[in-house]
Amino acid sequence: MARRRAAVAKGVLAVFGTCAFVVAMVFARDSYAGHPKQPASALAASPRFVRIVRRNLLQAGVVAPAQAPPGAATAVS
Amino acid sequence: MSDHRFTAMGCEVLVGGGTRSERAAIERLFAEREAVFSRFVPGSELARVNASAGRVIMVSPLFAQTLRIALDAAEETEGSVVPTVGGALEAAGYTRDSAALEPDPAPAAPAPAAGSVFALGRFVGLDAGVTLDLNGVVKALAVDDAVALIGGEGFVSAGGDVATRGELTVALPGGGAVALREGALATSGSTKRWWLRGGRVQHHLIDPRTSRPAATPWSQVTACGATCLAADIGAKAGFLQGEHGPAWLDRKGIPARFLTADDEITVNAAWRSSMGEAARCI
Repeated sequence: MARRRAAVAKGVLAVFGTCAFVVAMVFARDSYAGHPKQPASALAASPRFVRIVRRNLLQAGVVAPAQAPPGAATAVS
Repeated sequence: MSDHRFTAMGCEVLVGGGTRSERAAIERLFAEREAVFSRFVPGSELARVNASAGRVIMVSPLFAQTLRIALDAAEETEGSVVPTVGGALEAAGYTRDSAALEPDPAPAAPAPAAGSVFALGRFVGLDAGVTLDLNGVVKALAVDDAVALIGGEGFVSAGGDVATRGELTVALPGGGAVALREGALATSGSTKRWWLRGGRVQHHLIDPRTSRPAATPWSQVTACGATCLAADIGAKAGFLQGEHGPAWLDRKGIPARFLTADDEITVNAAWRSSMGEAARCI
């Protein structure tokens, strides 16, 4: 009888330990960056950033009325 | 400020300021870019890419980056300034340096069919029949890179595309001058690179909608950009957009000046505002 109680107790302890381990693993996935829940994605510039950079391709310079004789000329080449 | 002149990319390059070693570096830079991107040098990388239309090949980092910029420019200009007009230029008769072109009684060849470009990193593929011409961005990028080689104040002008470090007064087509305080000025037009085919005038600014030399009211368009690349793309887009050019460049905030064949000058609101002139009431 005592042997049977000891075996049941061992079984209960084993099940409890396994459950505790699984629960700990689940929480570990929530807590540590080493266990990502989402699929990994490639690092890339956001579409908004890309749009801004492209818009910058056509930024304006600064011109003003001439105050001195020309040092260079612009014309078709 | 001492000047240094040399010829590259079919035009005269003028370097103002800079040390002797900086000028030598600028001359090397232009020579290297011409060797890579000329349509008329058989061994150039551009010629190799054009000859491999229909399959994907690996290109140099410089070529890949320049093509990426040209494709971005095409997107930014809503398809006005595109790099896929090489075939249209050849059909119009632009098969060698424009100074060497002579009148040809034969009419221009039929315009080639449109095609696309695949570009992923250093891998590039052209549809069969597509020929690249990167002249729209290569010279301007070379000017930007060249002026960055000058340590102090100075400027670089290549065939009229002018970028400066420090204020510079620049003479404009049709008379007048302007103070360039920051960035660059570029002029595009049809008055220099033109030739005759079948008695009809052809020039190098191709309208992608027709694959023919563009018919616009302007003979020369000057634009001011933060970089020579921006100025050159702006000037070409302004020319190719025709009568919509001034308003289109105003939407981008680019000051621009438009000259007709009769030497009539039109400026957009951004240019007028830069010159301190009151905006015209509509």
